Amino acid sequence: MRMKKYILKRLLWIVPLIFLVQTLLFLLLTVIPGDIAVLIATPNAPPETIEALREELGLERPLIVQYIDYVTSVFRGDLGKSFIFRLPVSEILVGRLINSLELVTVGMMIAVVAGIPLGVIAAIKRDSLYDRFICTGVLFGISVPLFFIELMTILIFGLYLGWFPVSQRGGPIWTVEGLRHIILPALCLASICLAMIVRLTRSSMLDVLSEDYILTARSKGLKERVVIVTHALKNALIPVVTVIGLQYGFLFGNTVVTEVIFDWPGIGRLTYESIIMRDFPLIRGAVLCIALVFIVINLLVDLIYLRLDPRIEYD
Amino acid sequence: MQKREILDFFTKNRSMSVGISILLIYLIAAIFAPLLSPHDPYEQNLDVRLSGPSREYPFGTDQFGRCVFSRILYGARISITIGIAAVLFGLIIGSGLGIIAGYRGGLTDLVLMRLMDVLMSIPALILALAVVAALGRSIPNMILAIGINALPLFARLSRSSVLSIRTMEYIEASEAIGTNSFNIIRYHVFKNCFSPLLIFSTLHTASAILMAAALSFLGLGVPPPTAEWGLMTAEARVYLRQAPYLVIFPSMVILVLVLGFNLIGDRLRDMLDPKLRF
Repeated sequence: MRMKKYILKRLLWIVPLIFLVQTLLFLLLTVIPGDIAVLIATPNAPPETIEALREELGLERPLIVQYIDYVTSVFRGDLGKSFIFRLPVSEILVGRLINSLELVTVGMMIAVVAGIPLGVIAAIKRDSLYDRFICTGVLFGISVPLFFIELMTILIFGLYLGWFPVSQRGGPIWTVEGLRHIILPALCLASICLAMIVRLTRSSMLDVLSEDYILTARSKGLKERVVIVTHALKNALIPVVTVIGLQYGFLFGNTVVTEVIFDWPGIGRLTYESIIMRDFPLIRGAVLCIALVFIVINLLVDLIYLRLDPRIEYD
Repeated sequence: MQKREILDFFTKNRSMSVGISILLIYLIAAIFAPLLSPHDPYEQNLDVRLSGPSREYPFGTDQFGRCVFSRILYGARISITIGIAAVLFGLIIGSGLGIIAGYRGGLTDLVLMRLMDVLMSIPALILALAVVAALGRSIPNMILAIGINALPLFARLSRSSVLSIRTMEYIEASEAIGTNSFNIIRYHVFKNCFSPLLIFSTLHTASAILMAAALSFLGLGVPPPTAEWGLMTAEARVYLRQAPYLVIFPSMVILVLVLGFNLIGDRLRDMLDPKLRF
């Protein structure tokens, strides 16, 4: 019952949160110095064109009217029309969002599949050469700029070796072309959260391995593999699952650079392009959409954590 | 901790020493850039454009024939300034808000922390992009854009420290003898928040530098022709095949500086807060 109440409370909080995010976005895009219509119009546009544009965008109305109109229309599901694409923003966002989620999911899968075993190896071989090598790698992993990894990957695997295409999406992921196109950007994206996953798996495993029940399991004569996999790893993974969830949200927010470099038609690149082209409805729509996904991911992470660890209290 | 202990810690702890040495080298490079750089970072010499590393140009030249090494030295000023200023902004305002929220409780706490939730609900890089897009490309705006992201993190951290000590008897005793809120915060609360805030500030400076580089790389940081590492890498992208060193040198310089902050942050955490040890 308490859990249901907690979930309901968290779900209800999303509505005012979205409202506040909208307000923030409105404020941010209103403080832009200069006349928005002049900024959007082509250089040297005649005053009549600018006037018409101002009217079309509804910029002549008082700010408060613009604000109320914006907020209410979003809650009706209307995100406005893009200046550049001349299409409803929501229509543009759907496809781009799916492409980004595809990229982030593949990246995350690579990071999890590689990160957990590396963390476990580092923990069970603590202070060995493997451990040192992995820990050094982690330190470099969290320090390297993502664009550097990406440009080097393009240079080596794309330009020198020519193994993989380095731009655009090749189609659905289940096709060979789709898979070939997603590998490099997903690998690069994976690299930034791989380090965090390895680090946390290692520290969590080390904590669990020093517990008494592991000693008991060993003294019962269980094989080391059984002790590690079924006794230690199961408990050590609880905090790791949370970090994986949070990193998923983090990756989603960090796809901009990857999508720009690899020309991936996702929501990150769309946000970037809309900012460069000053397409305000699209900027608002894209950032709001990213924020919503981010909020939902974080909520799911909290709920999964509650489910996995009954000791956590609802607050 | 005694002076002797601190000295021992630095001499025996290799990664802390490496981190501090890296930072010192960068600081020296930043301060003495005009003396150390062999060329003017903005001087164009089209005769030697895109030439590889040589004795005269240690890191080669870019597409306008500018000395990459000199530009990197000058770039240290910008990256270090942005990284540290953004964190200071987050630290001062964020932890101030967190301390007030935690100490006052009630409605103040509710309103402040919900506002922080709003900032946290937009991914950091996206928020920074939106802020720079709104305010324009300049160093102060970058500091603000990156600093805003740090606000909720510092606020939450300091608030939780305050909450954990607010109910302590010595705080109650201070209140009973009539110490005002400001002094209680100054003498008791702030001292207790200090360690986690110091650790977090160091580690967050690393992230701030990376984010500043990413913003500049995307063309939403400092405007050209400023010698900034992220911007230099972005401009070199076109020449990736022809002159990969133009990407490698500025990126490596960012990597090493961020590594330095991470090394120091990790060791500080081991030293000051063993519970958080990785």
